[in-house]
Amino acid sequence: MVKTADALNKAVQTTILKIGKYLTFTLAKEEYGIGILKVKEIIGMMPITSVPRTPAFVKGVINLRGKVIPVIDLRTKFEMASIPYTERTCIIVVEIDSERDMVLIGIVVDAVSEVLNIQEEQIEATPVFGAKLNTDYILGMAKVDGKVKILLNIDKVLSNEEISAVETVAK
Amino acid sequence: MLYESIKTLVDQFSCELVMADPADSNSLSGLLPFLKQIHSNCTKLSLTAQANKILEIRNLIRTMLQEGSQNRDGAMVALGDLVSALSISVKGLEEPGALMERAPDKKTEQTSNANNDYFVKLEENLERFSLRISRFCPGELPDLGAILNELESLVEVSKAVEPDTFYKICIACQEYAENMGLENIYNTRPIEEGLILLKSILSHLKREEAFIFDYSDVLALLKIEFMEEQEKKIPQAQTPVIRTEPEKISDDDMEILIDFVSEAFENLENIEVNLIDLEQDPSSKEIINDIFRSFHTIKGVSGFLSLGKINTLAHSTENLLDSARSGQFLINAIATDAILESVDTLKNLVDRVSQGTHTGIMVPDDDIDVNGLRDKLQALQVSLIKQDKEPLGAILIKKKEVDQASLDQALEIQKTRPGKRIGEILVEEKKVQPRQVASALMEQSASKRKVDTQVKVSTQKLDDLVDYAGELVIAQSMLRQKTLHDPSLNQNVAHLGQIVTNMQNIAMSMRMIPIKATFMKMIRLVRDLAKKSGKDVNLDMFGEDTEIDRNVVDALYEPMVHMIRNSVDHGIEAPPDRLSQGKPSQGEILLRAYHKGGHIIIEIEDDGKGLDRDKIIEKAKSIGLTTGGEQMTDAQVYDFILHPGFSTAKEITDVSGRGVGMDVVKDGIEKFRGHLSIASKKGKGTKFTISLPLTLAIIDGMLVRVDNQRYVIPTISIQKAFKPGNEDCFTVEGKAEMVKDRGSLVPVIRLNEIYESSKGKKPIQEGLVVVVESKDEKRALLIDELLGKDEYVIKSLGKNLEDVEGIAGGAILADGRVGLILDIHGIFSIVSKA
Repeated sequence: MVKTADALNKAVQTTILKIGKYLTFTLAKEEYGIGILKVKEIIGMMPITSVPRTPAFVKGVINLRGKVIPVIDLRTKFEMASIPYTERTCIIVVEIDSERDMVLIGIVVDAVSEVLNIQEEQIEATPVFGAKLNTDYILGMAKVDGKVKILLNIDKVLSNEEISAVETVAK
Repeated sequence: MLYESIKTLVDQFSCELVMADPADSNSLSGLLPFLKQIHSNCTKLSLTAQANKILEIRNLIRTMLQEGSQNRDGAMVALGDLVSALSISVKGLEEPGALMERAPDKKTEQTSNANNDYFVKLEENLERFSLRISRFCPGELPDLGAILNELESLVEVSKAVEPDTFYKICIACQEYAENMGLENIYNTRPIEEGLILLKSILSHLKREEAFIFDYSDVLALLKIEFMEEQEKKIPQAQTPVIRTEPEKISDDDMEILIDFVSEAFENLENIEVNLIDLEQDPSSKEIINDIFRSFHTIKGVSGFLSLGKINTLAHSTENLLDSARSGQFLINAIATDAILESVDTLKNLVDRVSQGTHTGIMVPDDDIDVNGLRDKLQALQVSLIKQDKEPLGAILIKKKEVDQASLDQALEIQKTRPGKRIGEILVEEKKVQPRQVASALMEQSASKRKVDTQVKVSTQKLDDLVDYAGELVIAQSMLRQKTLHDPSLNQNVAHLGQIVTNMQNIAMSMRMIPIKATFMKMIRLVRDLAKKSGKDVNLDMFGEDTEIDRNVVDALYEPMVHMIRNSVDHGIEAPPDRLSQGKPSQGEILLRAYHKGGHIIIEIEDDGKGLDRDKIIEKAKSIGLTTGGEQMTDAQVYDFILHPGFSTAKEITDVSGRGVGMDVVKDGIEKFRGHLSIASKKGKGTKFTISLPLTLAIIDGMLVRVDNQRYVIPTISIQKAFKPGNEDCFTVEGKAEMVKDRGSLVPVIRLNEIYESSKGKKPIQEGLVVVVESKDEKRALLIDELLGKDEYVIKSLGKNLEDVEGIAGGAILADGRVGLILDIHGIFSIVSKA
């Protein structure tokens, strides 16, 4: 118990320090990265059961080897135009730090690219975009081979409060 | 009097002789001290014949020892002969001898006749005492207990003896012996010194001479040993005080401490349950053993973790139980109370440790006193040892095998023929069959309970197992679809299916535990509450073996505590009030558990004063819950008490009455898809009925299709499903739709509308309606198709989605996809809001 907690603390620490390995994926033409320690597995698209009366970005729930986990469409979440799912569409299963325990959530992305080792000098602080874009959940921007990868703090993207807040509006 | 002691000594000696191993020199030399004692007694009474015999025996043993281990068998036979001759001659000693002994006493010490009696008693006591010491086996508490007993009677008798030297030394010895038990001192030398001293004082007293010798060295010896131990103890006890700086717990310790806390709590709970069991069956060795083991574990681990107070308390309780375990006495109500008290204190102490593990800093426990309790337990142990176990006769009478008259008769016979057992006499007198005695004897000492060996498994693993078992079922059914065309393969798959189903059942049942443990806690609660409120309350239980999901058990505990409190505090009247109403003075609370239609029903019923309908309405009006104008059913009125802040109690007691409670109870139960209903009759009593799903994991449901979505409707809320005809459908103002069901009109809910799966209204007649009920409200759900009925394992949709209105959870369907389980009550409230 203590050891896993320690390990996780370290993981969070590295995420905060922003240096380390990231799993990158594409959404439309943009590239995003999630800290590798947050990722549990990557699965292909599977039938999703939609759950009524939830925010639009909640695609529904899937059966992950006997466990029901919610799936979130990151395109919808980031208010991008949704496209039909293709063969490359993936669900990345991530482990989210909830108040007490770890929660598994699937996120739908256009395609998974690669795992990148990102150094400190590659990272730039998130620019301020003003009111039109909430950048709370962006850790920073990484420049790799002339391209920009947006590093996400996935805990914040999928924070419980956010989902619940939208939920209340939906009601 | 000395004759008696000679007789017992000789008896004991012959016993020892039989037990002695001729090849073992130690066991032979162990016999010599006996001989010495008998000899000295005999010479005192000038029984020269017997004394000579004893010398003969002693010489024989000595030669045996000197000659080595050869040819001892022959010598043993000779020895046996000598001993039997001795015992016959000793038995031949009769009263004349005793008279002879007393006569000279009377002449010479007429003035100190009263004292003389004391001396005889003291002498006897001392003899027994020295015997006990010589047989003392270090570490054996029963032995020590016996020594303490002797010392206590010595103290009792010597109290009146002047001067008080004798008394003082007795007290010192007693203190020392007590410390031997507490501190695990095995050195008996100080006590032996004390014994010699006591003997010489006694002889001085007898001769009416003042005892002028300095005995302070012996007293010092007794005290020093004890002081040393105390000194050793003091730094330990005071460390927490010195350490004003809070002690930080290291990571290594943390892990052990966390384990210890959970284990200790589990053990303590186990003890409580077992104690209640023990009350029903005080002679059960198994139960005592179980309790003993639990204390033993706590003691062991706490010692290792240097949790001093926990260790001390667990240790002394363990000692008490150990004596009970060795059959020296039965745990009676006083002992049970003391043990419970110790459990409570231990809980407090463990709680401190648990707080410490949360904060990472040891929480001091200086304010919790364990010494008083420890002394109490010790005193209890000593006093209980004197008592005996439940007499066989009592058991026989209880079982109606024999009546009081014949038992008394048998007891009379027993007096004239000592050594005969009461059972034997009863059988000889043809009062009972040997079989009956045997069964009563079994009851007297046998174990009635079988203790299963158990392993601890983390709930996470258990849940995973259930998940995988469910997946296995799905995988198997898919395989089956594909192998239908191949008969031989199909057979194998069917076999596999059977195994998988069994496995799933076992996995499910692993989560089930009997509700007994929760009920037992209520006994404790009622007992405490009744004592506090001065009422006499009896708790009866039925169906405590009913099995229930362990999560549900946790859910049940708090609500039950609240309701029991209410029943004792508000429901049951004080004894005088009860009597004046023609009720028995003892109040009755009934706990009942049973299965009914996939639910576990728990009833808490009291025969108290019941709910006052008028008072509740009045109160409801005053806080604006009702205008009082409408007609209300009893159930509706009683439901008011489930509102937050609703209390009709005039006074707030520390037990209940603050108006928090019943709403918490209701919330707690409803969170677990349960239901609480109240029935009451003024003056007769109140009955709370909790209905909870048997397991939180499985639901019986009907699978239905609405557009392309599949939903599971819990069978328990379904009344009927039918295809409505034209004549069954009605509308109000063209909008609100209703169907006719057995003559009553039921509003229709279109699931596709509230779940926005499709737009547009197709006529009701084209679909099916399912009439569902929740909380006495009926609605008809419009669906497209009924797909079947099955049991579904309920899965949470994850933390983020668990509060979605109208959805109780997800279920994995036969094709491996997720279906949603409808929450009927939630759907009703969606509709009523829209």
